[in-house]
Amino acid sequence: MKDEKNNSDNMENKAQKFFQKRVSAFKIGKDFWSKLEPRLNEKQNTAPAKRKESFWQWLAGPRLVAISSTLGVLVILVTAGSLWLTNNKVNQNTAGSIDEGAIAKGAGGNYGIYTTATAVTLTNGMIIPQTTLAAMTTITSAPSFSGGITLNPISTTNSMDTTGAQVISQASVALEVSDVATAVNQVETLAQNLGGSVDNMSSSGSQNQQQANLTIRVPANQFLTALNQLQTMGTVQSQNINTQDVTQQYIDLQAQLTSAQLEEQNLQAILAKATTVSDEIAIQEQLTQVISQVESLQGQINYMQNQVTMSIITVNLNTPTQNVGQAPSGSLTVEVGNVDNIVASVKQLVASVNGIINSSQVSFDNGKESASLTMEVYRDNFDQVMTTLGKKGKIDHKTIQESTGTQSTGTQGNTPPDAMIYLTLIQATGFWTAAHVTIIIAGAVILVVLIIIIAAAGRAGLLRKKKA
Amino acid sequence: MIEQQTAMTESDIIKRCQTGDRDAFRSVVEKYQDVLYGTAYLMTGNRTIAEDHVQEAFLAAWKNIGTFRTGYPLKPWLVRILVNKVLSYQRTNANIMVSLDANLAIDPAGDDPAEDIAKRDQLRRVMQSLSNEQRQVVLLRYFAGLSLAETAAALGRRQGTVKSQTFRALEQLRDLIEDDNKS
Repeated sequence: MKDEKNNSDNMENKAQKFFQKRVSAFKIGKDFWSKLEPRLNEKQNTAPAKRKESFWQWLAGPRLVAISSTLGVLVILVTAGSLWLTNNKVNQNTAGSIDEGAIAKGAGGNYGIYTTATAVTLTNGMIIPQTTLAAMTTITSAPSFSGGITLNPISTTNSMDTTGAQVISQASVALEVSDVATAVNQVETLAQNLGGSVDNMSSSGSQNQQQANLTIRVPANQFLTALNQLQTMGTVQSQNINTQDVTQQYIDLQAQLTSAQLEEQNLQAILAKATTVSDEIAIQEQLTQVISQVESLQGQINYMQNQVTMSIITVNLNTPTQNVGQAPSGSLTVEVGNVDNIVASVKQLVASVNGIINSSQVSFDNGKESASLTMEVYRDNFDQVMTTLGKKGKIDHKTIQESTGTQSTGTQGNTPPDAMIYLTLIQATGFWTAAHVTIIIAGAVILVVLIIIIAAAGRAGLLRKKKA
Repeated sequence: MIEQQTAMTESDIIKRCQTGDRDAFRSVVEKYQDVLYGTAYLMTGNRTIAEDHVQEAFLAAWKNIGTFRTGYPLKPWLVRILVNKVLSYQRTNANIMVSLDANLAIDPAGDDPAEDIAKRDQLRRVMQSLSNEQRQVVLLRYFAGLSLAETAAALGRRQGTVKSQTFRALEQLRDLIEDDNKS
């Protein structure tokens, strides 16, 4: 290594000698100065020359920082703007979703639900189709539901066009009452007062805890009134409203009936004209079939009409478990990315604390998924479960009714899990959809490329400055 | 001590030039005109063009001597001005450039001593054997006597590039230089 360097230095010295020996062979003309001197009259520059800056030199330095940060801010603004626009569009396309605030009092003291959606999703995840909303037109008092939901009566003047809508409404209510026997009487009176009846009743229970199950029928237009009045009888533990639009089936049945009746009339006419016994027998056989068809159809229609006009409400009455006080309960509305995944994880979570999932309903509306779950967990696990559920996404709404019990039953006692949790999962308004992620990544890439280009250009400019 | 005196003298001369002293500038011209001329000549291969470049370089130096920071050696600055002139001329006249080789025949020898003519011819031949980049590097480093950094600055190249170009050029000229040293 040292030898190599010495060798190289040696070679350099030799080269130096070689060239220097020959410098003297180059001599400029003797009259060089006399040619040059007259040209020296041009004015000398006394101040350091100001070099004309190139664009890149101009750009380099603080300007570069200013321009690149302005560009960066612009890119971020554009990205945010497009995100906002897309997000807004998504919101406009979503299903009609109202909370209690959206049910507002209209002019003239009338109440109405201001929505053009085909169905209304309440904050607790309950979905009420438009036809049911229409069926509620004659409600005179404001019914209220558990979970902080209040449905106000819709004025008849605001009612939607429901001509011929056939809706079967059913509900089940679990009430905690101080005395089951009194409550059973109250329910029976209620059903009769509203023009309905009690279909079924059963009761059971020990001295500590009694319970009764009733199935009542009330006219459809008294459906919500009945629910409302039922709620005043005790503490609502759970409530489920189910409606089924059977308009199409009803129309089909009517058409079939008309057709069958027409056929019956025709056959009657032919029978009257029949001349032979064999003809008569053949026609009679057909007629018998048609008549039985007409009766069957009429029966189905009657049954359907009965179901439509009379709503069934299943009432579960029970007394509170003694000495344990009231279990805590909570309702939670969480915005999540993937509803299905979260539902699965919630089920796992509840199972892991030996809780019970009472109901789980996933609905899909206008491209948005939502789920409504009711579950019961042991009181000791209530807080932990609520916290974990809250971490599943962005909490929209949270209410906790604290335990009034003085005695903790825990998982050790005989009391079943009774801390009720109403969970509603709503698919987030698609803030982080693939499109958004793409826009953000594209924006970031553009930004990085811009910064690299400008930095490179700036560096070139700086180098030139330095060199100059 | 002598070197310091020379430097001081050059500094003084430059200061005088900066006040517009033509006599002082004449001494500068006379000191460096031949080495500049040789450099220009070996770069262009044409005496007339080389002389024009040297004249332009000195004119530019005179005009801008006020911007020269005293205390620095003058030769690299002058060589740099000259190289810029030659290179910019070569760039703008690339289409009418004639090679060193072609100029050999038409270059008049004038009334120079035969020995000088022989030395010039030999150097021109040596230069021919190198690429354009190598030729420029070797000229500035060994003929004009610039340092590695000064050569790199004058040619607008990185020092590493100049170093490798020098190395390759010397490898090519090794035999010739060794022979010359022996003789």
